[in-house]
Amino acid sequence: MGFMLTSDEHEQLTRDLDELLANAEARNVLLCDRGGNVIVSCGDSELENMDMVSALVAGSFAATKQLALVLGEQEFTAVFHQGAKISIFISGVGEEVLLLALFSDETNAGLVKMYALTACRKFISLFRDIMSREQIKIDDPTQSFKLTTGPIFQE
Amino acid sequence: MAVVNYAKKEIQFKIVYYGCGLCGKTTNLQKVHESVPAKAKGNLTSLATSQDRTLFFDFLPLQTMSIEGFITKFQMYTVPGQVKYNSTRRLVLRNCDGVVFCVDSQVDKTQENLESWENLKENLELQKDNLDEMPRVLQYNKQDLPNVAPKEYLDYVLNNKETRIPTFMASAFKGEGVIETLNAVAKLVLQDFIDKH
Repeated sequence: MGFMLTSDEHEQLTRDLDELLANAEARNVLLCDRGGNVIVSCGDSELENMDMVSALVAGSFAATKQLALVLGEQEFTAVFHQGAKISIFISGVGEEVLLLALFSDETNAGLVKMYALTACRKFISLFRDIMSREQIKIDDPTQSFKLTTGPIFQE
Repeated sequence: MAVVNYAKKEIQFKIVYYGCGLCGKTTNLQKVHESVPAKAKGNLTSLATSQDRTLFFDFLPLQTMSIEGFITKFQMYTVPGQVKYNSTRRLVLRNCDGVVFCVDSQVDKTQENLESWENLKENLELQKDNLDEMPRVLQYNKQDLPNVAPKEYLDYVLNNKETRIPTFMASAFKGEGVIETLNAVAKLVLQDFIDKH
């Protein structure tokens, strides 16, 4: 299983994230898989460590899922971390994806939650299509992958 | 579970270092972080206890151009080795594309290695993955210590199937065999991806 995003899908997801960013007045919004890989991100370009944020968010969400199970819940579908200046809203998007919205203390948390959950419904449908299409073997020779030569990592 | 983005020309893979407690998983990532050029790596993040034991995971993002025309990202993780953190290991294994099984080569650690190996198999099966079909390498670590088991013995215990798993002798503490292990697993992950696409 994996995600293969075409240019059109990337554009669509970016457009939807940009809309969420503007409506919710967030600083950053991103979609990552539950393994911690960034799928698409939008917002403040100063946030360089997107890979790390994504890995930690996926870990944090997975931990709260275990907590939910211990308490007899299937999942906490959304998680909110409140900071003095920056807060984070995380929501599950179907079984495989997470939506993260990072926002400042000048933004209303309820607003973020409302727009994020609306966006989630749209993303669930989009990712259902993306993931079902992934089952199809891509046999277009123009889309084949080729390894470069030489060692992958050097000291 | 690779993430391919045709618009950004980017592919992401997840590699997990697995093994019993104190076998050297975190040390491997630390040495990789020290060795790899700055342009190819991000920050090393460790979620550890106050005694420097891994509590959740270590994380190191790496970047190469291993597939023509695509930025190839490898997200490197370690699991906590202590037996009690099994649910955490399952979380970290989610969507992984390749595994480095780090072996503590000391003779008296054989049982712990075996238990961790079985635990890896079980945890992969729970997420419907099969270790025999996953890109994987064995690293016989701690070769700098005096009481290490011979390679033949370690192979007999852990690598005794018809299809042999690539093995690497290493001393992560001294930085020996670390990059070789990384290159081997990365190559297997890339080949596996190409074979499937």
